Amino acid sequence: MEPKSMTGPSRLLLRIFQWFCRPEYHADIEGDLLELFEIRREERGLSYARWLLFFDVLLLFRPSLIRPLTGINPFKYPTMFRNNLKIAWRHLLKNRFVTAINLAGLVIGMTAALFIWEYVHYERSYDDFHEKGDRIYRVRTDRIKDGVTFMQFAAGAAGVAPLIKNNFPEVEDYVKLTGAREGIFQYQPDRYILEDKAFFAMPSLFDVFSFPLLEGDPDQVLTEPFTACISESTAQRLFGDEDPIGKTITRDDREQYKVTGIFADAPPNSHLKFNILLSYVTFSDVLTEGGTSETALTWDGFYSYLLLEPNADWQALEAKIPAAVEANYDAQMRESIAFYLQPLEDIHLTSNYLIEAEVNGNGKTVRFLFLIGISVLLIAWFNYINLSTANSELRAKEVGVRKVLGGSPGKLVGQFLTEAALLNIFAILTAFLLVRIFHGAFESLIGEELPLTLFSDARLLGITALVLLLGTLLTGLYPAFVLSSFKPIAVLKTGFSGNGKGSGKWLGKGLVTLQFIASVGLIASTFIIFKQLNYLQDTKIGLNIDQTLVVKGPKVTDSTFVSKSAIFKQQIEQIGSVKQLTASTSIPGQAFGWTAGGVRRLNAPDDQSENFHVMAADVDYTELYEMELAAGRHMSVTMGSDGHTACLLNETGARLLQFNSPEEAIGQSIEFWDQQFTIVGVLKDFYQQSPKSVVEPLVLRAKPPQWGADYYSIKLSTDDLSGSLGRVESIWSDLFPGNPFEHFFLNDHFNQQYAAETRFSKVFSLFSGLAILVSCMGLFALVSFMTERKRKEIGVRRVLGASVTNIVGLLSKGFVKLIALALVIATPLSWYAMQQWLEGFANRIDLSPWSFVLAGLIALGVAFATISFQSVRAAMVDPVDSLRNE
Amino acid sequence: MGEFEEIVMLTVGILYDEAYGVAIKQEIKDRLNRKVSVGALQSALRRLEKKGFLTSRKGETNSKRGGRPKLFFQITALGQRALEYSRDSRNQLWDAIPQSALKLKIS
Repeated sequence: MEPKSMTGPSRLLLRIFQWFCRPEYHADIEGDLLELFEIRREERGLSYARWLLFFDVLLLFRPSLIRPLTGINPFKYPTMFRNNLKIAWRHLLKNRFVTAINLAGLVIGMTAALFIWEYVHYERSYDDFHEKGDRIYRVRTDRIKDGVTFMQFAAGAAGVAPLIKNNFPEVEDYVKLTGAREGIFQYQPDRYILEDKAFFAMPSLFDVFSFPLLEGDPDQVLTEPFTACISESTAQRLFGDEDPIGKTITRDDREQYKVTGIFADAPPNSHLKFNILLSYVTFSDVLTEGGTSETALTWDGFYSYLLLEPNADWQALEAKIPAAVEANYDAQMRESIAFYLQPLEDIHLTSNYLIEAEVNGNGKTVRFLFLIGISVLLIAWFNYINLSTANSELRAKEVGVRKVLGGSPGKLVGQFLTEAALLNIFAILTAFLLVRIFHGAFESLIGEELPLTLFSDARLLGITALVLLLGTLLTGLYPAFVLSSFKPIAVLKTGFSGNGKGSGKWLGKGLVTLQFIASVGLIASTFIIFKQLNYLQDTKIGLNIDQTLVVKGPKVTDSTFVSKSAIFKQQIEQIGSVKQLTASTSIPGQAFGWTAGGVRRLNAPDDQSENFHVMAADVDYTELYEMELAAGRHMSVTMGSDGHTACLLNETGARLLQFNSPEEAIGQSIEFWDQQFTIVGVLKDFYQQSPKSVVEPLVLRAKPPQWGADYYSIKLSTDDLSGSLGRVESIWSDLFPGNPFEHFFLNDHFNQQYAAETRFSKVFSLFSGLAILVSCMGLFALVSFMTERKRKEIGVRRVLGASVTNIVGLLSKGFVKLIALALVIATPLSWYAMQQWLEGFANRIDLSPWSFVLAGLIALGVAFATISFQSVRAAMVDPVDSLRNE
Repeated sequence: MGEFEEIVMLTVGILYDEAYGVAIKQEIKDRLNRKVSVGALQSALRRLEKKGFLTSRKGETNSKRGGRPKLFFQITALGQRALEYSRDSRNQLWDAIPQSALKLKIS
């Protein structure tokens, strides 16, 4: 008899109570509740009674009164749980071979996944420590000519940040930095450092970003000309135990800065790292006095960060910039320049433009690695699923007996899940250990310092727990349901499940195919990556960089520099093993450094001026590097005027200036930076940095002797490099005391540009090796099951005259088919993925089908070897042994 | 036996033949001015029953209870001994307190 809901208690509430309450307790408690309800209603009214009923029911939800979850609560009845554990443990021990293969696979898979997770997590954590990080955007600059973008700067136009700030109220603040060239910072005669992470920065830096200022007044630092802030570690290097505040440091023996603040070293996951900050007003008001560093849009090299108001729409702001450019400058400026906002936290993985503050990460690489990690882990899990279902005949009797004795499917599932959980937990613990041990090795493999966050970061730990849970369910559930669905009568009578056909078999085949799709894809990709890398390194760069020693030019110089550098050249060239010395503002493998926006043919109108890279070098630079000419001649010492007015273009540059052929350019004049130059030769295009990027227009002009030299290139004629090095160094320290002797061999330096690709290829080949290893381990176990099961069949066939070859073929056919299928599916997938990767290179190989054929053959070969190891053994067994007893 | 369990047991004793959920709850409220939720009470009753301190029997019903029977509780011999033990150990402890200590506290 149900009470009326309008006047009585809520029926829903009572039904809920009935649902969760222990059945044997339900009747009388409900009676109590109803009686209380009546009493309360009479005393205080209906709604009061209803409310209290609600709380009563809520408070009745307690462990001692609720219905047990699934038959048996493992925490309340630990014996059952313990029994499950015991059986699982025994089972794992009994089938050592399968356990070992499963465990090894899982350990490899999880270790790989953990490493990669850690790496990916780190790469994605860049710049996430800024409190206002979600409101900070960097403005980058594109330069456009006739609708074509030809240069893309990370550090862009000087005037853009003030322009945006002044025109749009949603911009709360901005900060601008520009790199100070590498320089020597000196405290006392014997206390100096060479520092290239130095910037001129606005004081707003400490407001916009969250770089903590340890000492100094945040409102005061960097506001006065010739003041500086230094990092904690720099303070230690330069001042030791002294207090740097108020002390003076000298930059390149020219300018003196008072230290007014100390900031904490930037975390490693910052896209912007600096050790010394010089006040921006020094740059804008003193060093470039009368300059236009607040308004010029044609002057690049300025990192501009905007802090937007909360909830401001950055994309809308970005879209409004061109109009502001036109309003404040002119339509022509609007056509030739474009500004884009980059969300701060995206910079590290997506930005790769000219003049980045640091070499940024590669989002594609991170994504690829993530995929690989997942693949290896999945392959290992698939192994477990395959092996435990293929192994099911062995458990059929056990399942039958359990069922006959009253085991419900739920309990059986619990048993098999326990086994999966046990194995997964083992694997992840071992994987943790391995991660701890091989952390250093992994760091050197990826070539980056990677904080060991695995054990401290709650999110990573959470993900690990999730992986564990997912792994247990994924690997445990399917086998558990297959096994627990066996019909006890069938299995006990025949010993076979009668279930091995049908969908289960297809799933097993599907999983093997998936494993090999991943393996073949990874192997093929490894080939392609190696090929691309070799291609890059073998591409003729158009320069001879062998046997070249480079010495960084002196930073601390005085009025005697011109004569000293002449003496330096003369003395060095007198060394027997030295062929030649030349000075320049850049060297191969290094960015050109300078750009000029207004390069044009003499007397050409303004709108025909072009953007060029500019480099200055001694006249014999091109000869030392054996650069080839398309037309004209090299600059020459013997032509007296060359040192002042001669220049060389590269072919791309000549084309950009509308010369129809290189020859046509010879003898013509160009002008930029208010100077005229005569083109004496056109160089064949060469790769200044690496064939990863395209050739850009270049003016190579003669370097006036009074300009400092950034680099001295010394061509040696011998392989006795270290002997020559000693001689060079002693001459250096005689002539340029107080300047550190920084040198390197150009070959090594140049090849460092491929370091990222080299590392990527190493990581990739390691993980694809692991993937195929784990796949083959699974295959190995599967085949050994199959041969075990078909022992009698093989014996009979042998007796009837089948040869070993016949039988091996019979056993292998099925698997070889699967792998062939995997090859067919893997090819287009990895083709597409590699196409994506290759797009990051200006010069790239064409994808040829051969890489895929080769990868397929390798996978097939390895798999076949694995299979035949077992199948040949099975086929060779004397049939008498296998047929003797029944 | 916890403090709350002891109270429940004693109340069951007081009510003697009429000790069922609602009555116990009311009795505790009347005598000790202590509000007890149905959940807390029921969970204590079932726990005590499982320990063997209480027994229960199904009783009659009435219209207010929607046809649901009452469940009457009664103290078992074991329960009685447990209560006595509990009282004795308390008395023993009370007796052991020196007079002066109590006086001090009172004054």
